[in-house]
Amino acid sequence: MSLNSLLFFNQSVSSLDSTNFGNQKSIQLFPAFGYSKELNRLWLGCELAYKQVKYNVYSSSTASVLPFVRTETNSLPTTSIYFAPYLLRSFASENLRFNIGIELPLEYFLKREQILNSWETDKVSQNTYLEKKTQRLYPKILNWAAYMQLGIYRKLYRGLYFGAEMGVGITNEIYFGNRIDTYQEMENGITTINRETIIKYERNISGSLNFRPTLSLQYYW
Amino acid sequence: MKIRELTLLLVLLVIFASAQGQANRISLIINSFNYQTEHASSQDTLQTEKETNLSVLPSIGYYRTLKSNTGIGCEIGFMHSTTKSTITSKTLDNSYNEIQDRISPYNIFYICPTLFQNYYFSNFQFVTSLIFPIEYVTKHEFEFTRDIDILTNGTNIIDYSKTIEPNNIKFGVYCNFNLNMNIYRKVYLGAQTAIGIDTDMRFGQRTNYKSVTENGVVTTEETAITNFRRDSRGRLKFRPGIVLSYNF
Repeated sequence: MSLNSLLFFNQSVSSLDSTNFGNQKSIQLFPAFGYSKELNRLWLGCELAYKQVKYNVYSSSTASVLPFVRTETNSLPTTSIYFAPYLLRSFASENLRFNIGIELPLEYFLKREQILNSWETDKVSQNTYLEKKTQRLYPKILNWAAYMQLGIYRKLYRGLYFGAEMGVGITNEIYFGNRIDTYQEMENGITTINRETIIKYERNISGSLNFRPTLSLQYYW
Repeated sequence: MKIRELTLLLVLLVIFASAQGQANRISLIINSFNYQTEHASSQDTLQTEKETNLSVLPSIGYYRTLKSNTGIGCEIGFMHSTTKSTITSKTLDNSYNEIQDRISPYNIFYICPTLFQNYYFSNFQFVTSLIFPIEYVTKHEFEFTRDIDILTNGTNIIDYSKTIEPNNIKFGVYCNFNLNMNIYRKVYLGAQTAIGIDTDMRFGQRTNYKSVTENGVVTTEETAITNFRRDSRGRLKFRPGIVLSYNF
């Protein structure tokens, strides 16, 4: 079992006069489950994972001179599936184990979206009189890479080891399909602007030399 | 600056020549790598965007073992990077056309003296080293042009700006860990990770030129020069690399 990335935050803030208020939270956890088998001193294995990220920001603001409260929400939902075959050599000495290998991770993004909504509400009547909705739907994204991995593990109990790995390699990302941007503006419940722009990616490839840290729990039998 | 680098290289070469080596190696290293190629357009073809960039800092190093698997070495490398982007947009009736061009080039001259120790086990070579990378950045420029055609009144406006950044020197001290695997006879392939402190210094002048041209006549033109008397910064940093070595 590997933990390939982890990021979380949970924040709630407000001004002393309570005219500004905001909270944001997200958890981005990327665990993977793998199996490997020793074949002629080489370990051949594979990891699988499913990642779902939720990122939500909510904020509202006003001032004593303003007749309305402005509220904004921003969310960035992402879903991806992950597959990583690997080949490694493992060296065990007393309570330690060293793994050296090559890993070829593939990550396919099923969904990556950005949704931004804002509205203004009258302080007295509580009516919403200006509403703006922006949505960006990204195209399908394939991320593939080749990493050289070096891991060190400590024996916890019998065949159970816990440790960390560091990968150094080249990551590539390719966009294919269309990006859809939509914008809608409403005044007192009546749509005044409704726009959709479709951006076609004829070519979009990028790559870079990268690090890849991983925490891992392994059981050998 | 080039004279200083050449002197340092010469001193290291003299040390190599006088040393009685046991096992030496030549390495090809990728110190940084980034690329991007993008071509996107809106479905109604009113807006298109193209961007390209390739930045690779390869280096070649010679390492000489002096005694007890310890030795000294030096790498030299060069990078030329250019980022180009073009955005074109127009209205449905073709009465308004706009083209935005951005170009940003820079060069890096790279030298890295090294003190190292080798360890061998099974088919692997493990190298721990202290490295002193120096990067000298020149010709760092940003050029921007916006060409607007308003066909309803026959106006052409060209906004142009160019910023020439001062020369920049980056130097650091890193602890480097390099693990290589024997892939064929004396050829090893591996990866390295360095952790250290990097310092960045700018010296000289930044020149910023702006102009506006309307229907071929320059209406606004200005040049601003910023003199960097002191501008240095540093931080703790990682430095990844991919290494191909030949031992002899």
